[in-house]
Amino acid sequence: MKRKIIPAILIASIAFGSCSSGDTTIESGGTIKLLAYDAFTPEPEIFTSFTKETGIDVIVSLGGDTGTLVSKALLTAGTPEADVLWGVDNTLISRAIDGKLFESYEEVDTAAVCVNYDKDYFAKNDIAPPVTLMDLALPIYKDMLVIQNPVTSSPGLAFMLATISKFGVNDWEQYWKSLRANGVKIVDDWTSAYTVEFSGSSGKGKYPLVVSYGSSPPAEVVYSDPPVTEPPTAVMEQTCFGQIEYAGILRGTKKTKNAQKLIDFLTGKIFQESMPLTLFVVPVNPDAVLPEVFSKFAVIPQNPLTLDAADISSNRVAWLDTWTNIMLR
Amino acid sequence: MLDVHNICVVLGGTPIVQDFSLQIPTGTTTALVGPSGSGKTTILHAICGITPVTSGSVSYDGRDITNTPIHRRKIGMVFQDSDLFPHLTVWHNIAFGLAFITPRLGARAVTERVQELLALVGMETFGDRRIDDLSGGEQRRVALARALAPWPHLLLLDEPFSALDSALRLRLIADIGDILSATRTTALIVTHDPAEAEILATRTVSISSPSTT
Amino acid sequence: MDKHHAAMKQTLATLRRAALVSSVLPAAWLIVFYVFPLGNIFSRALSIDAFTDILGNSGIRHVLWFTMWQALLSTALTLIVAFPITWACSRWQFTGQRFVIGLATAPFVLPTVIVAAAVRATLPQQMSSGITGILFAHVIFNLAVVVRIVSARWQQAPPNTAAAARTLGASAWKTFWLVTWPMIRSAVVGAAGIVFMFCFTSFGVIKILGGPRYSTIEVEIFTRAVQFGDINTAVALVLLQLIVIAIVLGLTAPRDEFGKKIRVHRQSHIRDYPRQRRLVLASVYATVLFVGTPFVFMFVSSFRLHHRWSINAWRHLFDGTLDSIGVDVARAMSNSLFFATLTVAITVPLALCLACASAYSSSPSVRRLIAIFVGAPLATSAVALGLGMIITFDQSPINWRSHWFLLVCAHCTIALPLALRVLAAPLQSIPATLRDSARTLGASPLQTWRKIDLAIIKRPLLICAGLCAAVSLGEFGATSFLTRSGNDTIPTTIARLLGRPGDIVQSSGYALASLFVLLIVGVMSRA
Repeated sequence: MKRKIIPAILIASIAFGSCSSGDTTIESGGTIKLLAYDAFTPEPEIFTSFTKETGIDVIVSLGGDTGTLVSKALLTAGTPEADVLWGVDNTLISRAIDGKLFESYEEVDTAAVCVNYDKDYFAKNDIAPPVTLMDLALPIYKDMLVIQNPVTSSPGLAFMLATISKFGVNDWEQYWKSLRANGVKIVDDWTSAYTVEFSGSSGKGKYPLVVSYGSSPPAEVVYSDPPVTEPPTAVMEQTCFGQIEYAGILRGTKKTKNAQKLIDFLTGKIFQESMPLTLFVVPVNPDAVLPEVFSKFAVIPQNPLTLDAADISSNRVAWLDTWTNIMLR
Repeated sequence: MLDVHNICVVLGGTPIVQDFSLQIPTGTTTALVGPSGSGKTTILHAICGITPVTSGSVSYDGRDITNTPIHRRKIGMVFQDSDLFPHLTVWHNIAFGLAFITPRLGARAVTERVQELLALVGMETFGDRRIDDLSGGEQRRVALARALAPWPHLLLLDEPFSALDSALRLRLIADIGDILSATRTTALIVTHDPAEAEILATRTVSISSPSTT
Repeated sequence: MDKHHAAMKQTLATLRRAALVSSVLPAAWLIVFYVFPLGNIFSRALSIDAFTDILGNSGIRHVLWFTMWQALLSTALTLIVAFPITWACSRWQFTGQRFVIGLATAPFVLPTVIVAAAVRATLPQQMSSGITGILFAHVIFNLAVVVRIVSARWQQAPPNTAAAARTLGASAWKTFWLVTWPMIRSAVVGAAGIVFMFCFTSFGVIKILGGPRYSTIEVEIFTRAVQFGDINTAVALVLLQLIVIAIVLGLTAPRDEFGKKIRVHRQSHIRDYPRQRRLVLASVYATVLFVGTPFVFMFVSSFRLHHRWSINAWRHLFDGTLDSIGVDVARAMSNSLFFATLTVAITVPLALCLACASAYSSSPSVRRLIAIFVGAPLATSAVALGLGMIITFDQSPINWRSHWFLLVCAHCTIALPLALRVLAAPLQSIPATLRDSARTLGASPLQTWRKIDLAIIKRPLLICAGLCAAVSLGEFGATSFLTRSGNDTIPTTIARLLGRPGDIVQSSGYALASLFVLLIVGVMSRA
């Protein structure tokens, strides 16, 4: 400790002593900074009503995939670069808690990470779509599945955890070896997997099976051009891993009150009702009414695969190492 | 006999040698005398092939060697300075050219030849020395021994004594004159000093700038 | 006369005193922003088991092995590719030589991210990530190191020795191996050591071209620390990497056996040697083509969208299209320029203080100390520095982790050794008599310094400023660690764009990289 303090005092007093105290502002109006993962794409004008009501401007900044977002936030825990963080999920929440990242945090949405399939492909080729995780390793589905690298992608991580939940810590490695032998394609992020490599979406790629969300089919309907009434994709319900996302007030912010106001807005009816068709997640607010296209086509599994958050926290690095060794080396 | 016929050398767009001709009978030493800048060195380089000729021809014993690569001409050369191999000992400097003789020389023949040359230049005990440890005069002797070792048809010497002080120079000139005549080497020596030419050569050719005969 | 003598002595003494006093500032800088962060990494790495753990982890062993063999292979390929042009430029003179060498060695001043982007634009889609691209990029980037270091030595090798070997019967190849090679060997080995170091610690190239499969220690340090949050392993990897580099640089440090007399010999002009002419020109132009093609491809790719010609990728850089993926090019550019300006403003004065202290010092040990002190950051990877800073400046009152100025501090620390090199040599070469004559004409020590020293290093100062700006503009490793959202620089933005799928995003990435090349060329040609 001492070795840090000596140069600290020296430099701090000479150069930057006055720098950090400039942030204290009176907590009415002003701005508040919301840090989120790259896929955070709410309705463009969604915060207008919040600003009108409270006089607070919301600045959204995107900080990479969920893993990077949380790790970088942890590196600056206590002196945050923003006031509110959106998007820690249940695979990372234990680390956030252990690292004292938040002053307080709340559940904001749930989602299910599931394998999706291209209905047309299986109909045209007269193959029955796979049903279980085990099916994906069958020779008939060889070279059909595209997944995300769990090191760099949160749905990728969720899918890996699904297999650990399903097959147990002893057998999941064997499962992945058989997946590798069956020609699974690995890409870095969800966008590459779903919008480029997957045959059932805009990219018209080569792979009819993709790790995505239980809410991906309604998204296909909402964004379809020309419009369709039925999604061209469907979900393998038995492969779903339950994801819970949290938002929290970052410890060290000087705008706690305003931050709480934003959290309240994010969990409030207006924002929660906008989420299904913009972020494609399921609201946690019981008052939020689901849009019809969402309730009709989204798969919201009653008993998804899941793992204990503490379990994930203590084994995550080791599991990722094991996975990398099996799949990428 | 070496026959240099009407050679021209142009370097950097400037004619350095113009229509130069020269004959050197076998077994004789010829001195090429002229002021600095008259193209003497360039003539030597053209004869041994380091610098290509723009026109004209060089032949030896009736064979045209104008386009023969340097290493097949069997023309030895002693440069003005810093031509010895700094990473090799005196012994290995002298033995260098013996490695390329066909048919290959045996190890014993190589040893004999190197010893013979060390004796010839009076440096029998210097075999293991490094080049950097030698004096200027000693370096010139090694350069001469090295050039003579692979039995060249012709030896070219480019102001070999210019970097030495005068006392040492006189002694070395005498020594080298003896060596050349003892070995009956055909030689062409370039110098700007007519006295030096007098002692060493059987014949003196003078050139002025730019060189024509 | 005695009076004059005393005055002259006094000039140097005054300068020396002033320089020593002023060098306190850069010394403090290096202690705070280099010694402490690195020391912190050491003390952490040595106090944990992670160091033994990493060698037991088969995944990390795999990374170590890959790092090693790709670095060795990259070094070997660089030497091979660099040979023809090095030979041509060391032995021969030709019209446009300086320009051609400038072209072939230009990628070295570009950020590795840009070189990697260019290679990516060149390779066919299915090869866009993988070992071919990695090796290609490493060779293009490091070519300059070999050409510069080896040809400097080769030009000192007396041409007479090679010619003598030829007259003794050795063919051109035999002459090279038996005579030239022993004279340039230590330079080649030294250059190889530096190239190996760059490839061993490769980060930007692997980030762009490695895909999910390929990872070097440097990338693994980043992945562990930033994506896994596993600082202990990251710290242990930094230590391991530093040990390897120290060993390699120690083994390959140039020893100048035959370089006592430094004399550059006149080269032969190629137009006088019609037989070698074709070979020399072929070597040179083939190399320029090899180095330049990827950049042409990159430029062309920035005008391709959905298999058609289009300038939309360039337009999208600034029309807000990229907002949706959190990329703000205008902001990144203003950030980059702002950081670069600050880096220049801080580094140039620090380097000048150190250069003066080194040049005026009478004791060789002071000079050596400065050389070591400043050389060390060169051999330290940027990622290691970034990590060290993050784990050091983490407690109040020096809790600067989320401040942008830490980024500038890192850039300055990285630029300082290079800046010093540019300034030290010209200052040392000023003969004392010059100052003495100024003094005898009545100038005060300060006036003398201003009129003589400062005037002479005016141009080096400009070059130094350009270099510092280029370092800051292109820095990627430490920046990746220290950048916060909203503080993206041009290189991190390019990496983000190229890391995302989609034609528009990819082409925009190439457009931004092309723009950056133009920017760097502009900065460097000014200097």
